[in-house]
This record gives sequence, structure tokens and C-alpha cells, in this order.
Amino acid sequence: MGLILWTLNYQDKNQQEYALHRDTAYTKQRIHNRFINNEEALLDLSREINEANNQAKYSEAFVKGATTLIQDNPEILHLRWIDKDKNKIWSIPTLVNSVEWHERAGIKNVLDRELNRVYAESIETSKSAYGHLIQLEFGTKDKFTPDREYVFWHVTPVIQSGHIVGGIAVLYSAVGIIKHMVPSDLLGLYRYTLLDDDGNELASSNAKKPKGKYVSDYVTLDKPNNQLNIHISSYPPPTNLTYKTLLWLVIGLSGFVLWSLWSVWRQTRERYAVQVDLQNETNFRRAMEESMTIGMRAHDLNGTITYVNPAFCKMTGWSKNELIGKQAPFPFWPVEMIPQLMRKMTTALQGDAPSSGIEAVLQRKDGTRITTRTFVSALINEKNKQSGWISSIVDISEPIKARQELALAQERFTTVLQSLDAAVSVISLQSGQLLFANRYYRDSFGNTTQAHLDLAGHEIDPGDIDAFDIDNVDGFAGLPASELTPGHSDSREILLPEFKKWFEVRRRYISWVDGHLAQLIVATDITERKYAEELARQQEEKMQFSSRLTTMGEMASSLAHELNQPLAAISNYCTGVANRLQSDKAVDIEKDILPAIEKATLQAHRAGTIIQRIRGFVKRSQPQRKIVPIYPIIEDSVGLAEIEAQRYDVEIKTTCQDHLPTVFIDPVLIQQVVVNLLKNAIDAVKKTPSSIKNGKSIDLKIDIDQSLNPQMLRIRVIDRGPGISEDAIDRLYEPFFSTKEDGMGMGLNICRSIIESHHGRLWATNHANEKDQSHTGCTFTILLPLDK
Amino acid sequence: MSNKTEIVYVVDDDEAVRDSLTWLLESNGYTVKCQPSAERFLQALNSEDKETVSCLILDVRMPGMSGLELQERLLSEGIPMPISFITGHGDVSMAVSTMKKGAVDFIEKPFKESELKALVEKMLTRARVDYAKADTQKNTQNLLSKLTGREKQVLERIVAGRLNKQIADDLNISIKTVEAHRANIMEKLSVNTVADLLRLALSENNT
Repeated sequence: MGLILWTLNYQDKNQQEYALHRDTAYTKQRIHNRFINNEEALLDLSREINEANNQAKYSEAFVKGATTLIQDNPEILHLRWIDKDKNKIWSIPTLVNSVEWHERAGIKNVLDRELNRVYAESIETSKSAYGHLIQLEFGTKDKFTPDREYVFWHVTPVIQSGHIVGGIAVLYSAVGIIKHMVPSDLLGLYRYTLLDDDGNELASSNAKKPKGKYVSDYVTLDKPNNQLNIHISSYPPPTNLTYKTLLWLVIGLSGFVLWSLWSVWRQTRERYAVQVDLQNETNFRRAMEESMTIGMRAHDLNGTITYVNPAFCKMTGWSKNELIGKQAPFPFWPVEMIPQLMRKMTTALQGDAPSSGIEAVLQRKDGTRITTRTFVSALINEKNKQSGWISSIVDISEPIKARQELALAQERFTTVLQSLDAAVSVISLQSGQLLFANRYYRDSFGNTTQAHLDLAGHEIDPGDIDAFDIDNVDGFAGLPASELTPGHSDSREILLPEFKKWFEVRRRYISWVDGHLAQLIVATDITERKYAEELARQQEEKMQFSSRLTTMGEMASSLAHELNQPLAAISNYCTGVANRLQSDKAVDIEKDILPAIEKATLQAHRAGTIIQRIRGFVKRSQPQRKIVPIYPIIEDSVGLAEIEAQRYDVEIKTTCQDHLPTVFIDPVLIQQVVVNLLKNAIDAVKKTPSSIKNGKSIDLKIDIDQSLNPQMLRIRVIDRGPGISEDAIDRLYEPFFSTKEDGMGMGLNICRSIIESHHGRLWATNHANEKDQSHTGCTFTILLPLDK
Repeated sequence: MSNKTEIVYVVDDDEAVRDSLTWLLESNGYTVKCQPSAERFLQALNSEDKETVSCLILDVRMPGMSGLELQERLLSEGIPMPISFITGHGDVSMAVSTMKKGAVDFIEKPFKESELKALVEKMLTRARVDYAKADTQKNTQNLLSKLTGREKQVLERIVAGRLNKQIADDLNISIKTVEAHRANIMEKLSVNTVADLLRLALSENNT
């Protein structure tokens, strides 16, 4: 199409160009001829002048010829006859009352100068000569101005007997060439533009430039002097109606074809999408049919099988081909049940099948039997008419089996619960009713809720239970019961005084079978264990007590001595006072008596303190933990141990960190441990000769062990004795193990159990002497948790 | 009581006991000097007059040098000071050991005043006797040192019970010479009878 259009267009253009070239050549020829004609006319005029004898007079013929020339050739603006001195002899046109435009100042100079030059040129060649194109400057514009703007001279010499006696000069208007020399019929067809040598546009036949596509040609005029060019451009050809109509028809048809193609494509796509949907749907249905565990079977109105699904085939063990087309009795019917099944089928085919389905036994191909439930419904075809029956068959063998197993499991579970050696009960939090109680519970407490409430610690008041509405109780309002039940079951020990029994009670909230909140309690009788624990505890206490007594006993001699000192002193003071009072000498009470009595009082206090410490240490009190500062306990311990230490000339150095936090301990027990460790240390160093420096000193350091997390209170007893032998260090805490001749072997064992019952630690480390690899003492460390 | 000062030394590490004992003894009119330890006591003793009649009440159990050690030290240095021990409680074995080494007695705390007084008196009496004895001995030695060598030989034989004649034979001298020596001896020792002479000579030998 494009090619055709292009070809048409091309031909058209070629034709246009051809016509243009032809017309251009024609125009050029016409202009050239006109100039030639004018030259000849001027030559005639010059001859006329020659023929007139009197040169001063104008020949009639000359005037007439010149006038005719001017009139016939409007492109000639002015004709002037000049003598050989270039003086004007005669000129045309002449206006009487106004100054000629070419006589105006400025213009006249330009024109005359050029005229002189051209005249000189024509004299030189003795031929007519054309001048240069001159542009004249007009101050004011009038309707002639465009014609007069670009002009050039043409001088024809007047020759008389071989001498040039003057010339006829004509002034051409450049614009006039286009206006008057170009044939007027061509002017209508083309746009003519006059250009100078440099391509500047001087004038044009039509101010409007052609628009759109146009063809143009360019020609140089040989007259005057090849200095003018004409540019010819054709106006676009008038609209070709047939051509346009054809074009639009073609475009229209093309559009229609495209639209048709698009429509077809769209329709194809829609059809494809529908096809895919259909395929998916079919696949889905097939997958559904195949994955369905329910057997499907279709009959026509006569009872012939027309369809079975894979599930049914799998259920019965028969293949599709074996079943389709069969009529009752079917191969999957157990032989002995055929009459019964026939009856059922007849009923079903009459549309009287029960909505709950028909329960039947089917025989598989391998002979095993399954129990099924069959639901029958009418099969309606697309014409809304019944075409047969469709039945769905559910294998209910598994559910039946499961139900039986469930019943068995339930039975087992109940048996276990009933024979459980613990009371299990559930109480509703809404009604306060006993929802469940096992045999142990009923046998022990009867069938009442009282025991449950007792065991639960009376957190639920039976009086309130009627009004008990969990929605009003706490922040759990509105939550389903299941939100409350997961999580912990708490365990506590409860004494029921009326039964004189201890129970370990585990309680938790459960969501009862009806969805309501209920409390479950499992109570185990732990009375015996409790008694055993109590006994063990008492024995432990007894042991700790006797250990303290033993410690005291071991220190008895030292204590007696220590106690004797103040008593002796008091006795001495008193006797001394009595003596003085009885003597004959004058007695100064202030000076002699009072100081002695004061000193005696001090000694009595001293004795009292010792006795108090001993009593505090051996008193048999209930174990009682308190939050206490550690320092007084250490002070009392050191006070007791120091008595023993002094006896053996042993020194106890106590270093206590400032600002120790309080601890949660049993003061008597901790004191027992510290005294015990100090006493052991004294025993370890008492035989060290006094000559060894610091050999008989024991360090007691109390601080916070900051390397631990959480931090703990650390008490260290450091001696410089012989240390503990390798085989003894591992057995230190064994009961009845002792390194001392008269030791019971219970001290450290009890110490450790005391510290461990405080959640602390107790251990011993030897200090190795690097020089001779012997031990140079031993450190016992106690760690106790801080009271936080 | 003699005119000379008699000192009762008390060594006990317990300040209250020491002080109260001093107080008690002073109320009975004794001069008491007390020290807190055996070492201090030995130091102080160096600057005391050895001639003073004194006794020592000593605590058995003390830090540093114990009472028993001090007793041994005094014995070894020949200081004849009567010692009584204070024991806290009847430590029989220790008491026996102290008594064997010449302790006068031991006394238990708390003290009965009468016992204490009796004990101190007993010790001082012994100290006085010892002192007097030492004094006499010293005199005898002084007298004996005045004798010549021949006179000493004669005296030895008189004490041995030899007759003048036998002595003359033993020494190869005449009886007359023996008699002259004998008269000189009696005069130098300022005794009148042979019995006195014998007693003096024997007392010197005993020590």
C-alpha cells in the first residue's frame, strides 16, 4: 500500500518537477527575449538620434519610440538620454510639478555614480552595458518604493560615425523583472523569487511562501550580467479527491482488519481461559472423587450399576469394570444376606430409604466383610427428570471398632482411677457439686464436698458457690474456661484434723466435660511419710544439739578455768575487803574499799557473760531462722572458742569486712558451725611450738564473695597446722570419721548438713607449701546466701 | 615475823586474779610483788636483793613460759624460793609433778583465805629457815677457811673418830703437836666441846 502510495506520489512529483523545469526554461527564455527586445529597441532609438541632424532637437520618432518603450515595459523605470559629458539631454517620464524621485538627494548621487561607471564601461566596449544592482535608500515609503528599491542601469551608447557622442540609459527595476517579464499565466502557477548573487531575497511574486511539499527550481539570468537569480517554487497541487478517498478507504479497511484480528485473538484467549477453568474443574472433581473415602455408586432406574468411584472399588476390592453393568444381586453381597439386601434395595429404589442410611454388611472380593452405611438419593438429569439413584457408602467398621476400644479404654481408666491409692475428686466451681469422686475418696470421706473443700484449703466458700460467677470474680472475666486451665497444678500438704491424717494435695483447674470451670484435686495420704520426716527432723535436731553438747564437753576444762578466774578474783576482793574492815587500822572507804568492790562487780559480769554464752550455745530451742546481722554471731563464737584457744596459747585473729548485709539463718546453728571449725583449728595448731612465728594463730575472715553470682557471705577459718592428709580430705564429712583419737566423727558431718540446710556450702582446702610439698595449714570456707 | 621485809611474789597472767590476790594478801599485811608472766618475773628477780626472804605463788597455766618451766628454771639457777602453784582445777598429775620438784603445796581457785594464809606463812617460814641455815653455813665456812692445811687434816681425823695417838701416827707427828693443833682448832672455831666441834664440822659436810 505504502509502495503504491509512494509510487503515485513519486510519479506526481516527477511530473510536477518536469513541468517546473519546462516552465523555468520557458520563463528564462522569455526574460532573456524581453531584455534582447529592449536592447534592440534602445539600439533603434540610438539610431533615431543619429539620424536626426540636429542633435539638440528631439526627433519625433525618438520621443515616440522612447515613450512606447516606457509604456510597454513597466520594468523600465526611467529612460535618460545623455551627452558624452553625461549631462541629461532628455528623460522620460517627466513630471512637471514634482521633483523626480531619482532627482532626490542621496538617491541621485548613487544613481549618477553608477551611471557614470556603466557609461564608461559601454564607451570602453562600444556596446550596451548593464550596471550592478543597486539598492536605494528611501526615507519614506510609498507604493512605488518596492519597485524602486533594487535597480540597475542599462546604457546603450549613441555612436555617430564611429564616435560615441552620448548614450541612452534606462533604469530597470529588479522587481519589475518578476512582475512584468514573467508571463502572467505562469505567475499564477508558481511563486517567483528574485535573489541576488549572495542569495538574498530581493522580491517575490507572492508574499506567501508555499506550505507543505513543493518542488522548486533555480535559474540564473544571463542578463543583466548574471547577477540575478530566480527561484521558482510550485504551489502544492490541489487536493486529489479520488486519491484521498482511496487512501482513506485503504486506511479504514486496514483498521477494520486489525480490529477483526484483535477480536479473534481476544475471543481465543477467553475460550482458552474457559477451557483451562474447565480442565481445572474437571481435575479438581476427579481428584475429589478419587481422594474421597466415601464410596459412590450410581444405578439407573432398573437398578443396574452405571458408575462406581475409586473409593467404592477400594472399599469392596472389585474393579470398576467388574461392577459396572451388574444388576442385583451384586457380587459384593454376602450370599446368605442376599434376600435381606434385596428387600432393602427395593425399598430404597422406591424412594423409601431412611434418611439415617441403611446399615449393611458387604463382602469384599478377598472374602473379608465390612460394615457400611448407605445413603440413597435420586439422580436428577439436566432435563429435571430422574435418571436413576446415587448412593454413598460409608465404611463404618473403623468407627465401630474405635467405639469399642474407647469403651474398653474408659473401663480401664475408670478401674485405674477407682483403685488409685489417692483421693481424686472434681468439684464444679459454678454449682459447687461434686462432679466426680473415685472410690478412695468416697470410702474415706463419703460422698460429700466437705472433704474436697477441706483439702482445697477452703479457697472456695461453699456458701458463696451458689453466687459464684466467674465473670464477676477476677480479671479473667470473659475468657473461656480453657484459658484458665493450662499451666500449673500446685501441690501442698494439708492436715485434716478430724481424720488425723496428712495429705499431699495437688489442685488444678480444669475445663470439665461441659466446658465449665472445675477444680480437680488429687490427695495422697502422706501421714506416714510426714511422721517419718518429723522424726528425722527431730533426730537431726537432737544430733545437732548433742553435737553442741559434745563441743562444750570437749571445751569444759577450758571453760571451767575461764569461769574460775573471775570467781577467784571476786572471792579475793571480798575477803580482802572483809579483812580491811575487820582490821584495827583506819579504813578509807573511797580509796580502799570501793575500787575493790567495783572490780569484783566487773568480774561477776565477766563470769555472767561466759555463762550466758555457754547457755546460748547449748540451749535446746526450736530451729528458728531469722534475718540477723552476722557479726554478733561471730563475736559469740569467737568468745567461746577463744577460751579454748587461750588454754593452748593460740591466737584467733578476726577480720570482718565493714557493712556486711544481713543473712537469713538460724543463729545458734551457724554459731555451732563456726565454733566447731575454730575448735578444729585450735586442735590443729595447739601442738605447734611457740617458737614458730604465727604458727599458733588462726585467721577468721568474714567478707562477701563477689566472684559469685549471686554474691554470698563467706566465712573462712584459716589455720597453719599440718593440714589434712590426702585420704582424709575426701572423707571429712562422713559420719563417724575422725582424725582425732577421742573424736566422735560427727562434727563436720553435722556442720555440713547445717550449712547445706541454709543453702550454703562448706569445704576444706589445704595450703600447699611450695618448698617442701608439705601442707602448711588448711582453710575451711563457709558460703551463705545473703538475705535478699 | 621478822624485822626484815619479806616479799610474796605473785605470777599470774589473769589480771583480775593477780590484782585481787595482791589485794587479799596486802590486807593480811604482806608485801606483795606481782608479775603477769614468768619471763617478766625472771627479769624482775635480777634486780631484787637475793638475801630477802621471799616466796612465790605461781599460776601453772600461762602463755609463754609456763609455771612448771619457771620452777625448773629457778631450781637450775639455785634460787631456793619456796613455790606454791595455783591450779584452776585439780590436775592431779601436774600437782604431783610440782610437788616432786620441791613445791611447797598447790592451791585451787577460788582460794580460801585461811588456806592461803597458812600456805604463805608455811612458805615464808621455810624461807626463813632456809635463809638462817644458809646464814649459819656461811659462818661455818668462814671459820673453817681460817684453819691451816695441817689443822684441816687433824679436824678430818677427829671427825672420823680417831684418837690423838692414832692421828699422830697417821700424820707422823707427835701427840703433843696433835694436841696443840686440836686446841688451835677449838679456838679458831670458837667451840668449847668436842661435841660442838663435831656438829659444826658435820653441818658443813652435809651441805
